[in-house]
Amino acid sequence: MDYEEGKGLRLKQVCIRPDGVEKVTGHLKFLTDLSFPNMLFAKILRSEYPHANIVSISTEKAEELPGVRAVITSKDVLGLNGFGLIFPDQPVLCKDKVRFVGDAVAAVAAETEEIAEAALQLIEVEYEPLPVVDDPEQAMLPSSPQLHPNGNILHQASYQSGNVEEAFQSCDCIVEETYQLPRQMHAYMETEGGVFVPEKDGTLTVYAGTQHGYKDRYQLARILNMPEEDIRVVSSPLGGSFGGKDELNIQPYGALLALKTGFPVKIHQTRRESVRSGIKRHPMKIKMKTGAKKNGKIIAHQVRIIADTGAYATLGPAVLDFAVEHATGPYMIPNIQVEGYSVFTNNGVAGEFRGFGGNQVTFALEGQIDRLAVKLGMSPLELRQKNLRQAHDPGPVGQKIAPTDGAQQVLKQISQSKLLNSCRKQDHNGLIKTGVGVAITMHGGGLGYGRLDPAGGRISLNEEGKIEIAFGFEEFGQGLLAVIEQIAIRAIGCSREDLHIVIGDTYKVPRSGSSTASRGTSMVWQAIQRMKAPFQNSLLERASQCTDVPVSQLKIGEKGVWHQDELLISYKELAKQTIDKPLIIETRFDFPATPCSIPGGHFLYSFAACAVKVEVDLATGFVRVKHLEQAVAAGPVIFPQGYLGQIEGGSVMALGYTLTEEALIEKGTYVTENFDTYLIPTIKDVPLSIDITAIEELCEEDEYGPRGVGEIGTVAVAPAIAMAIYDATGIWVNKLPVSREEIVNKMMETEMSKWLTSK
Amino acid sequence: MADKQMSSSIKLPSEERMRMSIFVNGKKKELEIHPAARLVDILREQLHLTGTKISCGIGRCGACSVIMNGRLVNACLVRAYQANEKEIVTIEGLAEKGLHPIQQAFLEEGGFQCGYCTPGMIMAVKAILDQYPNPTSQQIVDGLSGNLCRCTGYSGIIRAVQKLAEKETSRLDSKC
Amino acid sequence: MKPVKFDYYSPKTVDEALTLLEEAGFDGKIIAGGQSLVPIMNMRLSSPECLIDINQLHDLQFIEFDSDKVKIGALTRQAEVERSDVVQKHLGLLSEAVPFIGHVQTRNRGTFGGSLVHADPTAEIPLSLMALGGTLHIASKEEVREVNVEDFFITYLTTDIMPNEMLTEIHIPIEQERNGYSFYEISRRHGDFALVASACQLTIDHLDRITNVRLVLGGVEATPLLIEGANEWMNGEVLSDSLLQKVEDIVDEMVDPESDIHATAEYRRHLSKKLAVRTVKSAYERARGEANERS
Repeated sequence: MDYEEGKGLRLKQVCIRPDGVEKVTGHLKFLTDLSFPNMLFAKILRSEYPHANIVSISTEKAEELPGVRAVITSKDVLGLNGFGLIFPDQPVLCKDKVRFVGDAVAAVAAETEEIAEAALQLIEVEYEPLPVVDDPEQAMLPSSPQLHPNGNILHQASYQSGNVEEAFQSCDCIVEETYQLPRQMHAYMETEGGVFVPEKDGTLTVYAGTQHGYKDRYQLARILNMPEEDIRVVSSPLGGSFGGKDELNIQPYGALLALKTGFPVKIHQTRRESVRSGIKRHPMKIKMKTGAKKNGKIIAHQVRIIADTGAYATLGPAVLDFAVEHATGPYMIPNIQVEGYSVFTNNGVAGEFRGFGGNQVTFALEGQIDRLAVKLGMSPLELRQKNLRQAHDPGPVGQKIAPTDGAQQVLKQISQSKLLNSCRKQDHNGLIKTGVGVAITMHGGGLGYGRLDPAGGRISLNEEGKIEIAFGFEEFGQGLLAVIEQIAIRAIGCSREDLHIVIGDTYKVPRSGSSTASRGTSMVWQAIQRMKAPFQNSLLERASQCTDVPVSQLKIGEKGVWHQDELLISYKELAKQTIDKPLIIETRFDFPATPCSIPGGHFLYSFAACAVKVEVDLATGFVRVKHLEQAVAAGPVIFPQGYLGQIEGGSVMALGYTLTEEALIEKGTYVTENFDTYLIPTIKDVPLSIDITAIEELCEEDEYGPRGVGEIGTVAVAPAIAMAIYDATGIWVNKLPVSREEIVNKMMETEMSKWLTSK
Repeated sequence: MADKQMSSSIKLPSEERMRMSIFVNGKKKELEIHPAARLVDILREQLHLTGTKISCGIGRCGACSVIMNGRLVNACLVRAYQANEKEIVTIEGLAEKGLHPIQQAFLEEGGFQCGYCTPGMIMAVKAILDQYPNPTSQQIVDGLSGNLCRCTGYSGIIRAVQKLAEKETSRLDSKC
Repeated sequence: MKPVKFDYYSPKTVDEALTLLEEAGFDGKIIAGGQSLVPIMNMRLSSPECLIDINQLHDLQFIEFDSDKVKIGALTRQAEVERSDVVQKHLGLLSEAVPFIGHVQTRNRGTFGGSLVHADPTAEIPLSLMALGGTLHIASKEEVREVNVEDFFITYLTTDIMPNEMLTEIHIPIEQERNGYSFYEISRRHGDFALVASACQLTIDHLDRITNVRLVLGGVEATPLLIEGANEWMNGEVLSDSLLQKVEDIVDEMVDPESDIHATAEYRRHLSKKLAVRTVKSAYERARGEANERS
């Protein structure tokens, strides 16, 4: 491992990503860069209203516009007019009702993008506007307009242990607070898009990014009324996703228009279209009441979560389950009551986003711990230590989990941070104050109990003599290809040049499940562990048969099979000699879930602790994160550059979540439509160095290897910043993004009361 | 409007195509363009140089950054005709023989992940290094503040540029 | 998103441009750097029928020192102003303000004159020019007239320029001895539109008493707000807490900001007071510092 003791994870050894050169030279073709002969361009007409009945749609004028080749509405949907990862409640094209401003009503294919866009203006849709449901708490009332047949509550989840009411009676100290979390946008740099190509043999090729090609194929087959086998989904590479492209987006429209016109159709959404139609992180309102004894032992924790899931289900239920599961985090609390509601509104659509509901509850939970610590007069680290889980404790909802000492490891590591003990400097007129804060988190991997979570992979010796490794995962920046390469080289013993890695094409790859839930690295490692022995044995046997050297004297190495420091037979030669009986090893298994029957309950967890130092300008309320450290316990590091990048990038994404990002919706309509108003961090908003420490040791009996780190780096940052702001100013933040105005106002109140009391 | 009478020598009605020439990565291109076209459109659609990306379309993300007559510009905010007779360098023009040192540094330091902002980011780094061969941290962040990256958190990018600056320092030192 | 179609003209001389403007009337729109116009055209928030691109008017790109003033051509790129030694030496306030504009890409294309004509009340160049004072040269087919900066901004995104006129150059008086300046702005992120910005230019005498001051705030009114009458109560004073308190009080009285998605009116009011104090203070300190350096 390229890891320097005490200096955090550092890249000692240069290891170039397999997709690196193409990316830095601009030669890599993203799927939105593709073009085909006779290609048409499509545009999608989205609803004018957040909530309305459709009275009529007239497409005649649009169809008559020269250059327009097809206009589609709900009647052109060949199969099921609906999509959704859990259940298909989102219409592909709305027929009689729209429920958010991103709802699609019609789509056009034309010879140019300009004509397609002009045609959209010519489609006449008559709406009958309905009252907008924009407050989830209001939406829960029976008097509210109901958005779906089963009412406005999409999903309800709860967990209970002990008796909180009784326990609160015996608490010495209780903290009760309501936390509000904003609607964060993934803001992947490449907006949704791709090309849809009808093939001569009647099949359809879809070139459009997603996190799960097979799932897109399944959903598209339903919509197009086509056998799945007749659809080929080419789905990598993507210009970022972060959970945002797991659900279908533009695919149904491109596919329907390609089939209708018989020509390749390209769609590439503008940023404004992307904001309007794309899913977001769930805004949540979380009420927590937490009580402790004088000695710091937390004995009662009551939580109520209301998640604004927007107009359709997508992964809303699973996100809520995750939030409920993680509401007590890594703390052992005897009396717990958690209830959560995921509620339909006309506010866009909320769905999967890196962290998956964990970010929201962790902000609230860690906020509670810090407030309790202050009230108890105890150090926040000490209070955490007193209540922290041990290696063999059950999981947060009492379930059996893989033993892990991660919580103790990350807390111990972050406690040693120099940052926490660094001097507090103030500028000469006392207007800039410095503060530090810490937070920790635990985060489940995989989809959890009761959810189909299959994984698998394939290793073969292909005709060209390459060791071909195929997975149904996608590359959206996280470094999956490098992870596959590193694991394969180490497991098999060949060199990187001997490998041919295949992903992102349903015609070529096995099913591996979705590239989501921090499962990629974990599943690649487990799959290769399962396949390596059969593959190696089979390869050596073949080499032995071809060379008459006994297997026991053969060794797999660079370029081929070796005998006594000599290359005996190359992979190429071996492939040639055994071409009539190809060597293919496949595996299928499921991501491990807890055996306890808790919907979505996890078995494997990773952990992180974050420490930050902030400066707060008291005159303007401006908060600047000066330094950030994270300690992460997620098993062995496979590809250091990727690991580092995930935690650094996740930290900054969370910094944006904390300080500036909010996809604002007013009365059901987005008011932040592009990067001039939706504010992701620039290079000027981030600390110049972020120190990451990777804790690689797992429990002795742990056989699950490396865990994915795609999400864990985003979770503990917000509460750490909030604590640092308190440390600097005495102001508790309970709503993100942090309001500068509120800091200023509260500072003035404090000043005023000081002034009054001093009189 | 009065366009019927407008000075004919400089008149370009909307349906007509305009002729322009442009030097892209050292090669002269004669093009017929629509007056509404943006520089990013002719690069991507007419010249098939898809390394230059489009992301926000309003000059706030830098994904379409190219160098025009030595200066970094957002190609979504340059009208195609404004590039007439200009020299444009895009990401495709950077690696002449093997990789450019900036590209190498990005590879080694993890200056990218998904790669979508990377061409624009690398052009912005080139513009910094063209002006300041040994940039300070302040010059680095000033020069890159117009380029958004959602994946890296900028850490790998900063490391890459600092590495290039260090190389420059040692090159200068060895000269003395 | 690409902009809708329009007629496009690319005049080679100022005279040609003025002829086109005359003929186009209200349908004509000048495009220079395009860093404000093109985004709104790309978003379809503006669709001028006739675009007159003045980027070929190389005669309007210059920065010249001329005894007691600096002349800047309207088409001079903001990046040239940023890099100019003349500006650095004689118009320190501008050097300090220009880096706040957008990003490198924006400043490489955006022009000095374009920012003035666009007249965004939060923009750095209008604010600085208001603090520095100066005259704008506005040409039509008939004449070139000179307008003082105080009379140039009419309201939000509106100036004194008529549809048949264009801004050609700007003359700015150079800094005096014992001069101090400061520019400061608060935006949500660097490069975003300022929530509030403040520019201050002042001179002091040998006893460090203020002899002339211009304090300007942006983002608090429809045009850059020059705190009028500041000389009356600041001249002859040395900097003191009570003077700064007065700055705060007067600013509080004079500003009338509005709320939007980025900030409430109250927060803008608060910021305008704090920034005004910050810029006055640091301009004063700079004046003293430079005076000391010279002596």
